[in-house]
Amino acid sequence: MKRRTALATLGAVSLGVAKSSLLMGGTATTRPLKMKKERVHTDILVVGGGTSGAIAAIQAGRAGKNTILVENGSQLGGTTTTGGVAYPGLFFAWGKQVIGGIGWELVQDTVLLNDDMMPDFATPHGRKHWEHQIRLNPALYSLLAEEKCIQAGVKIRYYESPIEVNYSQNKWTVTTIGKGTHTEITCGQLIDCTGNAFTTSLAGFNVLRETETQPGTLMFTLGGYDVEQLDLGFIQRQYDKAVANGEQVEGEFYSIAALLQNAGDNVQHIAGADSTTSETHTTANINGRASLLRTLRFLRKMPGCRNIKLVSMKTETAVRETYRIDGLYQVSHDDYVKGKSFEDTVSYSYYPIDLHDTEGVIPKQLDEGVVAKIPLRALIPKDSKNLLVAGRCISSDRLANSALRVQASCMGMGQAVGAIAALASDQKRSPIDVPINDIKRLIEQHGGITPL
Amino acid sequence: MSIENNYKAICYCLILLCFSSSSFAQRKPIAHFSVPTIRMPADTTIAHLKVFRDQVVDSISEKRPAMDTLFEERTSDGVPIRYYRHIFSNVCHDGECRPLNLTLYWNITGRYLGFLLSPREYLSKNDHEPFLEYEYRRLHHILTDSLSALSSISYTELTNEMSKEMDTDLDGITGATAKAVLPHIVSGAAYTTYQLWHYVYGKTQTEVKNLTIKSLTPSLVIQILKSTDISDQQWALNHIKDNMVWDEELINMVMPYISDGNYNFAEQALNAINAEALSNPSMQRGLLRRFITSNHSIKRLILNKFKEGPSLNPDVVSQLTTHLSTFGASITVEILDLFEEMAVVNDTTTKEVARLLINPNRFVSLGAYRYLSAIPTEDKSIKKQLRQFKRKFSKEIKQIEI
Repeated sequence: MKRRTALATLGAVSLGVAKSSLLMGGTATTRPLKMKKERVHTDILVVGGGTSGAIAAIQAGRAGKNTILVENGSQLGGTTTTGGVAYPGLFFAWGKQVIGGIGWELVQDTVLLNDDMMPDFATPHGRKHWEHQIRLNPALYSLLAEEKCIQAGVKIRYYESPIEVNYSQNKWTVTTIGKGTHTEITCGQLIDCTGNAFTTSLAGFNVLRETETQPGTLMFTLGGYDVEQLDLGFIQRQYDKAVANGEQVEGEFYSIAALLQNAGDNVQHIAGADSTTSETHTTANINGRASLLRTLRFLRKMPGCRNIKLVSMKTETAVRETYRIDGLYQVSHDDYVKGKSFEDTVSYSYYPIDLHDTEGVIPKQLDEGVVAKIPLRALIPKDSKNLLVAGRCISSDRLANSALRVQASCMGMGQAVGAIAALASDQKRSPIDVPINDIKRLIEQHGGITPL
Repeated sequence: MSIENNYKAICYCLILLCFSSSSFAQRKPIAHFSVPTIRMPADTTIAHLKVFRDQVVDSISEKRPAMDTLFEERTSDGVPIRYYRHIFSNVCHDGECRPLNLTLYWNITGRYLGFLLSPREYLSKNDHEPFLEYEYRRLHHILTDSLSALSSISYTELTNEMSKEMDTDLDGITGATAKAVLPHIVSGAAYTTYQLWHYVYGKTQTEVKNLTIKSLTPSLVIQILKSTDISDQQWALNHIKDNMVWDEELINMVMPYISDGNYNFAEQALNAINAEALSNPSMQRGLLRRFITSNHSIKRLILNKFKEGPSLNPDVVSQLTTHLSTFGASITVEILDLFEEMAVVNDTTTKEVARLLINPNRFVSLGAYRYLSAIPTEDKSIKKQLRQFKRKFSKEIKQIEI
């Protein structure tokens, strides 16, 4: 045998031995993975499984409609869970519940399963509206949201994002890309709950954006220090000096003392944070994390903070404001603070005007008795058909949006659009043509609260 | 209560009334009191040595937390009736300090009761003028308000510095006092009002509650529940313990709280009901009556409470079954979950639920399928319906069976 042939034979033999021993363990060589291309049809498609999207999908499913929920992350709940702002509010106004239904049910069940207690809603919150927000276990919330979706027959598609949205013959076709998937989803009713009006934008409708948007926040928890032993005044002065020297970024922490008192929580401000695209969201995440690391290093040099620890950190920078739809009606600041009633009101909203900027935030509470209302027209992009929007990208001016964007209001809107889409599907009408009384009846049948 | 005790209680109230209107001379004590939960005379006083970290007050005066005595007054039966603490402090403003020397009283539930100034002691304002009678009354009124804006106003906000931030004008009456602060203080005595309010609602209040909890008995809980003060009632609801006997009296006292009027009361009342209490048919029937008339949020709480009981009362099952399809899809499915969890099996219920298999809303029909699949049934018709349903909705069933 020639040497070359002998080596080749030897190689084949040893490969054969190796292969057979490996295969005994169950390993098999498979062909390279191909993108799974498929076309699916559903009555209702919800894009975005965040604060409003999960609720919209559950409502549509519970109304008996075939519903698909596309979420580009790995869990439901969005800002409440992935963003870590796990204290939704406000559900009660002036001692009375104004937002109920599916969002409230999720909150209620999360509280019960974690042996937590609700805040005292009968006690007026005064300037401290956050005392009426409900501290939740976000992991539990995400589990329950998923379970309720499944029980409602909602088909969840994680890790998928729309790349194309077309309307033809009264049907929407949304093409999504995910891990190994390329899917064309055809639906009768499309609901945009991306929070960034992303689907609306892809569908070809104009969207609105401020020159300067509210900052985002990376949620984290600090530990390893006793706040009562700290000289907060000294640390604040040192921090101010570090900002003046350019070692720290102005506006990132409007109060370093508040950061220490709250052990992290919702204090950081990341300018320009935008979750609309992979590119902008990457930047927001990197900026949020860099800010945290910079601040952590600074704090560890402060007296009493030598052993300060980063106890937990959320995976994404939570975002407050990006794009809003240009809707059939724009809720104005004046509408909001006066609690203007509309013929097509579908949900309440109650929160102070709460614009965060580089100076921090000084919420402006609503006058006693005022509860804002959300008209259906603010949830429908101009010139669109069979398209609804819920969440912070509601059609509104900036100041109204600073209050409308909060979680309880988004949950109320989510349930409303889920119900409207289900009725529009049943009645073969566009959402704007669905009788308001039908909408209210369906929402109320599912525990929601609608204004008179 | 004995005649002697009644007499003592009347005398005690008369003394309080006398105190409330007696600020006319410095030689007499100045006292203002609200009504306590337990209106009985004190028999013994117990001194509790505590470390009080009056955070706001100490940070103002730059004092470190120190030991102080909290006094507890008890009846001859050993029932706590109120607590008090002597306050010796200074009120400082613009580098000038005035002494603050009075006694603060708390109810057994931690609620502020009143204050007492010894003879020759008085409170004074910025201009060193003593408080007038109406100003003592106003102070008492402010201290009674646990929700006062003073809770969220910082010490610096009392001055004009913060007034810019609050977008308010200076008051022009007390010079530096911000206009927005005026409604919450005794005019000319912002710092005194502020400090006293923070003493009242500071760490002492927590200590008071903790001490009462240590000597809490079922009969004391009932007495507190009977209080006319709503915060006392709420406190009692939150402290109903497992050793309580759920007789008709207690059921009838707790049940009215389970209504649409106040979500927290309903939640707290339901939390107070334990598994043993749920074994009482009167309790379950009472809860059912509340369920029928309550809103969606309270309905859900009641259904969850039923799950904690040993079993579901037949009357409750019957009523829920009769009205099953009238509650709306979400509550209907929750009732089916309850039936499944409590292993409710009877022909009437099974047949009623089987009717829901053809409900046009798939969420409801799947809920019915889930229940019927979980219970044993020999009914051939139902078995056939289940097989048909399973064939028709195999994908949907697969999804919910994850």
